[in-house]
Amino acid sequence: MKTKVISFLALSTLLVGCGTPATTPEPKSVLGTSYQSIEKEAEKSTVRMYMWGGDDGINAYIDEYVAPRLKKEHNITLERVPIETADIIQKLRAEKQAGKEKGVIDVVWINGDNFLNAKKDDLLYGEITKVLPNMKYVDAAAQSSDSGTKTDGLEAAWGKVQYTLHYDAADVKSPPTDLKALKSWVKENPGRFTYPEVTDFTGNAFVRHVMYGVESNETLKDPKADFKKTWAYLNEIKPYLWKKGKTYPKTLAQLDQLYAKGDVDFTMGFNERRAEQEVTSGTFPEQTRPIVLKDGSIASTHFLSVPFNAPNPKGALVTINTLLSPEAQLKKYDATYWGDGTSLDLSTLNTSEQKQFADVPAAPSTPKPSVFEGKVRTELDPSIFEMIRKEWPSRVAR
Amino acid sequence: MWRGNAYPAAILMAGMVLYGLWVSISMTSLADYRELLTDEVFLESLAVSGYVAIVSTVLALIIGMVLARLLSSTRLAALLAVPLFIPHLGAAYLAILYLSDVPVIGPHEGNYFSVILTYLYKEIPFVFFYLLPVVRRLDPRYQELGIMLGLSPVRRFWHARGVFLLVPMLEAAFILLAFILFAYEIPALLGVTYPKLLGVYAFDLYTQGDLSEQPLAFAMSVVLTGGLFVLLLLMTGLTRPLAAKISRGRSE
Amino acid sequence: MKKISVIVFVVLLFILPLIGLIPGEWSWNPRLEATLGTTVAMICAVVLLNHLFGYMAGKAIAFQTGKRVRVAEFLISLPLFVPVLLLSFGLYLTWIRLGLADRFFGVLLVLLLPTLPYTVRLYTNGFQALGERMLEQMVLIEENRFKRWFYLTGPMLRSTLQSVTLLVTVITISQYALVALIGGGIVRMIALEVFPAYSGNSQEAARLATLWLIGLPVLFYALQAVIFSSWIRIVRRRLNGSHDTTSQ
Repeated sequence: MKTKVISFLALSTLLVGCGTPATTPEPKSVLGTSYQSIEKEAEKSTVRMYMWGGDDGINAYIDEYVAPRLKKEHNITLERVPIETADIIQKLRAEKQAGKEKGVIDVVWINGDNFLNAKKDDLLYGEITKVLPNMKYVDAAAQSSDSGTKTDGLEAAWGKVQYTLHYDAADVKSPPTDLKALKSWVKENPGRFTYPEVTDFTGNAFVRHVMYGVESNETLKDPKADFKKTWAYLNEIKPYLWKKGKTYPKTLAQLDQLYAKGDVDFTMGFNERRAEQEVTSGTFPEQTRPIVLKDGSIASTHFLSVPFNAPNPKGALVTINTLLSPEAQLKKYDATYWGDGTSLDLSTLNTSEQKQFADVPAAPSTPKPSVFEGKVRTELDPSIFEMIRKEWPSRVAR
Repeated sequence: MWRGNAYPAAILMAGMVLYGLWVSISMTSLADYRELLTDEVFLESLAVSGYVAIVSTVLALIIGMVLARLLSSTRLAALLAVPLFIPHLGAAYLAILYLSDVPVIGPHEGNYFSVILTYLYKEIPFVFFYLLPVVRRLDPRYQELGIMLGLSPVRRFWHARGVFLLVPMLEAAFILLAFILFAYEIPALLGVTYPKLLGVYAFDLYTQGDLSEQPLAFAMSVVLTGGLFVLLLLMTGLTRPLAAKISRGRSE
Repeated sequence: MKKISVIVFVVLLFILPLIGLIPGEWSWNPRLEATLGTTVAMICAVVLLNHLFGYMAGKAIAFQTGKRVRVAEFLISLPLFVPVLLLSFGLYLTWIRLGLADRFFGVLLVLLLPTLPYTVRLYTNGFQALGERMLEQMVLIEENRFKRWFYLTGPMLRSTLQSVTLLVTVITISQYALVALIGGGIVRMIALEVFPAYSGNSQEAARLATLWLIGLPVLFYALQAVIFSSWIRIVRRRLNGSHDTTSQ
């Protein structure tokens, strides 16, 4: 008898926490209304922004500039939650499946695979770009496609970056300028170069750059082709890589750490200005300099979006709009915090604003814009990403 | 005397596990399991993970027990608890800090020595504190009895100590094995690109790209869980009767 | 002599690595401060529930016989070998349907998964080491359940109680995946703020993160050490001559 009572109590502890089940669904989407009314109604509300929290500079940008500004201009309290986008997508998928109409995430930082999955599973709010006034400043080319997937207005371009390699000029006197020279350099300096494995966004991108360098245009257009030359190149440099190519850093962060320690002479990544902050904080060596390979540099955009079940979509839209404003983009561009390339089309700004952008001092570790002329490449078909992930382990790593 | 009630805890645990399992397993199909068993990468990963888990567990058990015997009466032993406070990621970070440029036992080596060492750092204290209560209560008079009766050292060890230590040691071994086999954090930081440990491989499959490989990750977990399940059944079945005898036997 | 040197060597081996953690500079992080409230509350709640359920179950497994108890024991051990990966999605789905998602209580329940199996094991071993006879004796000495616990059972199970508290605290603090998913960023615990540092490229940040993750359990350990020794001291003083003739 006692057992039954206790068991019942135990079972009910499972159900005790039941609040009311999902509240009545949000009335029809706010995207139909005007931005002015959205802005007004978003006053005095809380917006929860979920984004990767592994970089102190980025966190500081949000905490020390964006949040106070939102508070002052719209009386919005911005709460930054440091959860990674991949985890967020998993959460949203579960919420969609379980029919959770009102979630907890208002704004999400998103791009690449995460966007592809979000779009596929219908996890986003809708065509938010249609209602944001500041979209008029955003560069249309950057906005249209996300790593090869069309954005369809579901997300707003937040920053645009170019892939750049960085090296330590103190150790590398004459850096290679294209893939072929890189190959020779690696052979002459064994153990001083490596790239992240292809499960990492940056590592995968490196392989795509090699593709741009060695494969013909026809091959690049066909995701099902056999990219023999790429694998051949990677295999050729493999024995001369760090740890003789037997293992690769799992993430870009780990490669950065190797570079910072001096175990390798090169690092790479999707932000041509990212080294500035690192050099200032002492993480990267002082003589860090950039190099853009002649074979090309892929342009990549990252975005902001709103989940389908955002509890405060109006506040979310106001927040995103603020983040797209020229002033906010300028602050983001400045390497004091982040140094992220702007997603705005500078020709849409007035002259004084344009000058402000041009005046932002570029550290020696940042490549001059002229360096990129003729080298900017667009993203390849997203199925190529997947193909690289499937093939690289067997064709190269093992 | 009230003899306690195991049902509340059991219901809670079983409830949560079964709910979670049900959904995940329903996302897999027979084809996934078939694909898994012919997947070379999985099999090699299984082999390496087995190697790391077994070596770590055995060493941790032996060293932990020896330490428990040696240090059971000292208060200094409390300091040994320090690694228990350190989260696994923190321990991995320490390994990188100190072992980074050391040749054989450094990180990112195919022999996975750094991973084993890090696990030892964390698990030896665990075994130590797990066995400590039992060791402290070992009655030295059994040992004397054994000497008086002229038992051989081996039998003496078994009757005076082994019998009492067996169950906790097997339990600790199972816990460690199950944990290490599927852990993610330490091998993610210290491991190599190939062969990956199971926890890392499964996590990659689970999170990568278009998430099409998630069922495979689930299938992998299910297969492992099944294996450990069988192991646990064996253990529970064999050891509880022995333990009951011991518990009852303390009647003086 | 030999024994002491072994002890010193071993202890040093385990402690010295921590010197690497001492940071160059120390800064107070207001965001971390904000998470402390929830974290401490959660730890206390999880520890309490663990002791409650663990005591009941441990006693049963140690002293009852029969198939039912063995099944219960097996069920309790389930979380030990079912990987979190397999459970998290389904559990989260269920939690949403039950209205537990993104709530303190939801996270509390889920945190029982990595903790209760260990707790029950520790209690079981503790009870077995104590022995059924001893417990029956204690019932004879003192009939009142609460008094018995305070003066006899508790102190006798002291090392089990301390081990459980310590282990549960450490496990709870270092849980990231479960708290992130089930808590959804609403239930803000310290792991949420601190773990992202490990995925960045700054070793300094990782070092500070580790320090924070160790600091809280150490504090809790010190606290409970104080609590337990005062408990024993109170018991000794109160019992001085009141239950038997041998004076302390």
